[in-house]
Amino acid sequence: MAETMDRKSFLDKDYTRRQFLKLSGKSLAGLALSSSLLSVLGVSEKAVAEDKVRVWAFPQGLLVVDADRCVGCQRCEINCTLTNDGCCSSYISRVKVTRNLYSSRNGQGLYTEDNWTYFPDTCRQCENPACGNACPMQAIYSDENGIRRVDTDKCIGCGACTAACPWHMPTVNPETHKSSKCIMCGACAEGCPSGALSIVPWDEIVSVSQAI
Amino acid sequence: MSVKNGINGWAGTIVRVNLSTGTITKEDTLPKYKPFIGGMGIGYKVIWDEVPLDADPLGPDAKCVFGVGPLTASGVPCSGRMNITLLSCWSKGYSIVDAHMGGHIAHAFKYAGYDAMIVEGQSDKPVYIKIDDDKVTIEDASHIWGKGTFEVNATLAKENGPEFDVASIGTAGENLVHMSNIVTSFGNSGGAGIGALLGSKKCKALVVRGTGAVKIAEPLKVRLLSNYMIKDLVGGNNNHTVPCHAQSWSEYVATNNRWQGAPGITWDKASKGPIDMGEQPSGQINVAALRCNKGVFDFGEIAEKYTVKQGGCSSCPVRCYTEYDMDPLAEYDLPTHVSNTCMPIIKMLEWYPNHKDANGESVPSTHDFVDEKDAKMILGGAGSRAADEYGVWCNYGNLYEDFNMAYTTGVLKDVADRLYPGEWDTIPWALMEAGDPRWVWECYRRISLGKGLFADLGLGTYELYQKWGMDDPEKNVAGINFYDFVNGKNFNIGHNGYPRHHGPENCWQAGTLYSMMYNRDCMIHHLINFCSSGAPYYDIIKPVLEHFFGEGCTDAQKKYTPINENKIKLAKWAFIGKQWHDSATLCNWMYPMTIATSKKRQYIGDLDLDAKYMSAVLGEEYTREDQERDSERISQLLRVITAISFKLNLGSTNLRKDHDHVSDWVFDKEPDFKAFDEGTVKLDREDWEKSLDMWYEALGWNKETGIPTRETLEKFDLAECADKLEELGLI
Amino acid sequence: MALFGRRKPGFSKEVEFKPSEIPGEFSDALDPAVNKELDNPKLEKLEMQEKATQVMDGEAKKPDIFEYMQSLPEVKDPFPASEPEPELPPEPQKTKAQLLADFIRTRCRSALITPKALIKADEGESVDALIAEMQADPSCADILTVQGSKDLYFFSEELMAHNYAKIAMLTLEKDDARTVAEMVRFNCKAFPTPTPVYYFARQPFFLDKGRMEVIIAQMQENPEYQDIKVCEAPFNGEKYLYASGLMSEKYAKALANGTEMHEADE
Repeated sequence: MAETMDRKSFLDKDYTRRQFLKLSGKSLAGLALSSSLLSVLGVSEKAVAEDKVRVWAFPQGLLVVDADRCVGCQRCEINCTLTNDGCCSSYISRVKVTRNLYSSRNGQGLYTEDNWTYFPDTCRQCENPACGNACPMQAIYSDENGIRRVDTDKCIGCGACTAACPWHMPTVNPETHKSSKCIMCGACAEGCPSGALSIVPWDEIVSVSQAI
Repeated sequence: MSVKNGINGWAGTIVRVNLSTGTITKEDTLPKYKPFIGGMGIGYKVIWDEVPLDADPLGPDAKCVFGVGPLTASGVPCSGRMNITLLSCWSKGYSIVDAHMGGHIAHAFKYAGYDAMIVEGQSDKPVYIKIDDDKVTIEDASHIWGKGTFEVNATLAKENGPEFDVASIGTAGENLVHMSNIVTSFGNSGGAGIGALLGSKKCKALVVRGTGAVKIAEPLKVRLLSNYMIKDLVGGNNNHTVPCHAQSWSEYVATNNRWQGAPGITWDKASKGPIDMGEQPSGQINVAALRCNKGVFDFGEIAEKYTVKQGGCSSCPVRCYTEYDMDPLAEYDLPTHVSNTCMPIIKMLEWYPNHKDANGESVPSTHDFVDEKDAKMILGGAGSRAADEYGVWCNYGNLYEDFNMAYTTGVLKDVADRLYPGEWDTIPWALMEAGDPRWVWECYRRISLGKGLFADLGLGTYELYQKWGMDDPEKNVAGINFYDFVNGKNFNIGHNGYPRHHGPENCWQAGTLYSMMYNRDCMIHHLINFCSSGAPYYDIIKPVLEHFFGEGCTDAQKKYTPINENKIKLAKWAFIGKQWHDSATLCNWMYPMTIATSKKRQYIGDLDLDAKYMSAVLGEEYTREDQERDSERISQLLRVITAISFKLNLGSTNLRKDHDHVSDWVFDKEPDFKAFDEGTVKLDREDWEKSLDMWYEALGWNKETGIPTRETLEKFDLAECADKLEELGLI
Repeated sequence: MALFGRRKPGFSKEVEFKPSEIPGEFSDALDPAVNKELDNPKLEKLEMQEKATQVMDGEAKKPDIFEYMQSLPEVKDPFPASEPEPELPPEPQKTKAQLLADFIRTRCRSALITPKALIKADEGESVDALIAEMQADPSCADILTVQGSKDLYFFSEELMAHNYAKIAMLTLEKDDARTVAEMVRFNCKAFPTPTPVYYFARQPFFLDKGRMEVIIAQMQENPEYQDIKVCEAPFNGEKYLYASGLMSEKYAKALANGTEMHEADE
């Protein structure tokens, strides 16, 4: 049912988040964003118009990926694995930038004509997750907070989730033989030194929605 | 991988690749190498144990050791450094040196499960070494031999897969040019002649994929320490802690330093529109990468128009490599994507000395391209790409300073006529005189050939000066000893064939002392970082440093004072600290965290941070005392090896005289000043001899010879070193 | 959360590119460097800004993102509703003095100090009384002042550095000669270093080379600034200023030369 076409509704953080869920991972090109929203997201109108900005609705805020700001430091991978795996790795990180540094799937990176385009791939938090659907053990579940996790008791490390995901985001840990996927902890964005990954709290989005 | 081995910090395995026999073996890192930490320490121990110090540095007995340490890829910021130990083929004494490589390969190597790789023997055909986690193989490189590093790196990444990291030597290394390097990522390279060493083994490249993990005892603590470091301590490039554009949160504004990021400074060529660097307050993580704009520092705001972003090494938030797209180079059919952070991009004007026009007048060889005074930048972009393409190393600028001085004084022409008749006229001097960027490409191409006039430059300063008579006023047309003469372009710190980095010009006796300790330029930034940090000397630098090292330990810029005990203490801390960086591994340009950005901390840094990281990574207490003891052990081994090399290769028994001799210009420059006047950096000879006395005493070395005593060596469990020194009559 | 620091008006530069095809809803392929489509990479920045304005005007007809979202069908919400926020006791009404402090802090967030002249009291009330009340209130202890020659200025030391407030005051009062003299003297004393003329071209001074020549000439005529001297770095002739009472010419020239040669950095 159509919600009331009323800005006041956006005062509710959950309402705002549910609206942004509709846009998770989708192109924003063709939409008008106010200058205050652009400012809070830290992106330019050109970026949005040219489909260079993606947003994902996390519980704690909007994850914004700004490819031009990625400086290839790999600290997103470091923070992800320190936080979630208790070790330091690139391969099992749930946010992936190293594989894009040199010659990524899109033909971008330091060893291509498009030399300086590299940025982290993030989990799309798909509404209908290919990874979960492909899992023969139904090991990918939604926990009590709604976050999709891998049940490591059920996981047999078959790699079906990796193969099924169009972006090969889940990774089977070669040490534990269990799959891991993004659980939206936000460590990557918290530690990003350039703002290429940032989580904008819902409070800020809410305040901007009123600023017309 | 270390998680698999169950070891915290270290990967746990050293791989040995024998290119003569094709065999690959593995050995445990611990416990043997624990007292040597990792990286450089492992390298020095291996060379000590296995390589005769009178071996031909490019011969079959020579080895090199690629090494990383317990902090590499541990989550610690600025730990993307790989050390490569080898024997020098180019500096006086042909003793032990290191190359160092940034980029991302150190992390890949550690994730693959290795602390070090020993490369020995010689292949009879071109090969490359491939590390794919446990699997280490020797692969055919015939299809990439003879090609430039950019093409090779791209080819190998494509052939092996996007998750592989690559480093390769250029044609300079293949042709055994001494001034050669290994190149990785985009513009990151390791020098010191490693290209020639690998070339002598017909080893073209290293490719690495690591799907493993480094085991960390307290991972959340490492993350918290990292956040604390990035928020409160670290500044920008070279740890400059005060911005040089007024920022509303900062009490101070530097007049000109490496913290150039500010509102109004932009990455103009970001693909979707200029990115403004904004303010980067202390206390915030998400802005740390926006402090350094190396292009603007090197060339002024004209660099903004070609800047796409800043890049650099794994795990580092600072990003000191400006990544450019320099359009004007396209007009000369040269690549426009160029990236570097140091000498190879900032000193290219040295290849374009003034020349004589038709009337015999001295005229400039450079011109503006698009903006006023942009030649330094455009020629820099061309030169940095060319240097890396051919795999040429510059010996921290000596390569082109030597060219410039030789050309300007007439030595170059004289040598050409005498030693290479006919070659002069084949050199496209018109390109140089026109300030054409293709000239610098041609210079590097000629050097990389290994034969001819320009290739002599590739010998390195020590052998070049011998061959061209530049070390003897009687033997060159200029009548100069190029090691000693006073000239703004003479950076030779001694007579060993390498320059200061950074020495008396900024760091008083301290910088001069540690500049003399190696067999290449020292690359120690402990002091220069705070000197140039932008922090005010009297309000911050002096009180903070004296808090750590006692009264009188530092001097203000160009206001030096006589030597004292606390200056020696500071200098020793910096000297052994460099071994720490190259063994742990940590970036030599960023650590230590001496001055903080945080006003709340009264700008006092944290010199215990490195030990805190070690404790959190290893899960056992590792104190600063431990760090200094282990670092000094490696420092003592460096000195022992140097002493033995000098004995075996030169017959010398006295390092004070034959190794630590400082060039005359250090004492004779700026004739309008006396040493210790305000406004000069010249030192005093008597004060210098006293400094050496105190320095040797602080390090436990014989005062006459500068060689470690048995008592000192035994303190560091290096008794076998003392035995060898005694056997050779050195102690 | 301040993502990118405080911003100054006019520094965002929009560059006009030929807009690419707006891709399909879930295109993952990012466009190759759009720069390739630029006809003339040498467009002046002002021209580019003008074109951007035109482009932005043309974009005005796009649907607003919030309205667009509301028009879309609902999607399944994988997350539970946020915890209802606890009932907080109603905030005590802020006093006018406290509101004044908030106003000063808001301006500080944009790197602006607040001149006393900007402060208005209600009819019948006095500005001085309001200020006194604020200064007596412990919750406003972060509000400090810096005295200019034309006015008194307020800032919050939580949000702005003391020295920056002083620089802001100097630039606001537009007494360029005084600004230059104060900074030159400060730099000579604190660092110590002479100050390159180009230092004042940077923000927040924005005094270009031509303007600096005029200011320097004025200072040379003014008895208040007789200590401010000019020297040149021998390496490249770059002009530097120093305070003769605090630094000798010899020292100033030597330090200037070191900076210009990037001595510390090469």
